[in-house]
Amino acid sequence: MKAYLRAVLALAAKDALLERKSFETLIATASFALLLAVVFHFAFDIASAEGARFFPGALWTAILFAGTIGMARSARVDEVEGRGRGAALAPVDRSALFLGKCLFHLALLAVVEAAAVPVFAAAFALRGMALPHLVILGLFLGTWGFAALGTLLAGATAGERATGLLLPVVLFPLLVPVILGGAAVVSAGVTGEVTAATGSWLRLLVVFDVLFTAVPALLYESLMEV
Amino acid sequence: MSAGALLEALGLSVQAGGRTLVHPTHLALRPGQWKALVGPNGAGKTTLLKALATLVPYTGTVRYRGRDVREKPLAYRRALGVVLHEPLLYGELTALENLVFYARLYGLAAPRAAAREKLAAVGLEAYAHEPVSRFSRGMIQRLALARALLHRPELLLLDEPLSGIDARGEGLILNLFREAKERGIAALWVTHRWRRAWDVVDEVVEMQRGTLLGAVPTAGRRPEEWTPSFAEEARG
Repeated sequence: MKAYLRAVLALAAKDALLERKSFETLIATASFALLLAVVFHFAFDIASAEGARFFPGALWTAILFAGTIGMARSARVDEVEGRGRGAALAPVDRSALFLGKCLFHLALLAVVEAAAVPVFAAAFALRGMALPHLVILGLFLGTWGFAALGTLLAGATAGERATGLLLPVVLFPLLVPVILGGAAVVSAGVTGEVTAATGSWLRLLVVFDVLFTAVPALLYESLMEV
Repeated sequence: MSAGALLEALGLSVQAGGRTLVHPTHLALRPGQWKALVGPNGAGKTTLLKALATLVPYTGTVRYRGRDVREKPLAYRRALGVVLHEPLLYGELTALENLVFYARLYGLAAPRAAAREKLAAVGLEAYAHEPVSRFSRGMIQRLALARALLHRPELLLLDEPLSGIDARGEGLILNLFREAKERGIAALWVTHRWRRAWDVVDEVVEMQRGTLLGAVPTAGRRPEEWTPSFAEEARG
């Protein structure tokens, strides 16, 4: 188990090191998310009273679009000259390849969100957050599910010529529970209006995250056909 | 089953796109034995090598130390060092960073020291901090070999490891191969330049149209005394 975790960390660290060389994926992903904040700000002319209503959905839309760009790009890194096969030759269960990449995507999205949340809060004239820990929890659980499913499908479509088009088409419909759940929990965190539905959304997000982390990890070897 | 075989392919076959790329093949390697696999382009040599490396789906059985590799894939991959046509290296990273990454992935105790040792073995220690994208084809091949030898494998699967390498690099790599053989490492070496491989390998195996044709022992013979049938066909 220790060797397996070391391999997962080595794979995530390799992606982080590649990213540190140019920051290309991070810059592309973060700037797209921030641009969307500016677009939404001018497109909707939102008064401060309505900001809290629109903030969660707008934030999740930006995370979804920007994150998809980032994950598609990151998955292609291993497709260049088939170099991802080097890791497939290592004496470690190939599910580690999935989890390593997923961990990197989770970290990448966390950095993007850290930059995007204050910018979106300003763009939507948010006065504050009633339950910031609930906002963080909603973002974390939603991002985890998004990263897990996104990693799987980005890996599966990375070799396709039209991967940039194909990935959102296959990914977005499957992410509906994450977007609804993530937005509902963030909304509850912003307004402080926690209801029974908030608990249901949190449970749904946990189930989604566990399911879409465990199933791809179990099936990754046969799904990827390296 | 061949007694004492390190690696055995029993009825190994590869199909892709409705075509049979490798017909049911039997092949065995003893510990420390080196075989060269020769044949024209499209003969199926690389596909056979990739199937043995479990990188492409195959039918039939591959056994390592008498056990189906599907039963214990991790033990098999730990014993395996593979050099493909693609170097499996990240051009954006330095030579050292690439090897340290693989050393960590293989769970080596001192990744940085192991990486430096192998860089020195292939004569690239002076380029440790250079990005691989700046390397020549020959330097990349040497680094790919360092990657394959990093975890001290028992079995090497080599696809044209001398391609693009100058005379000095070739001498260095052939010496590395001789040392590896002396240490008991076995190898299957796909090559077009079988005359260069002759002194290192124990047998030359010919492959054509996805089928192994036969093996020629190299002991007591000179490379000039043997001509593969595809070369004869081409001549005449």
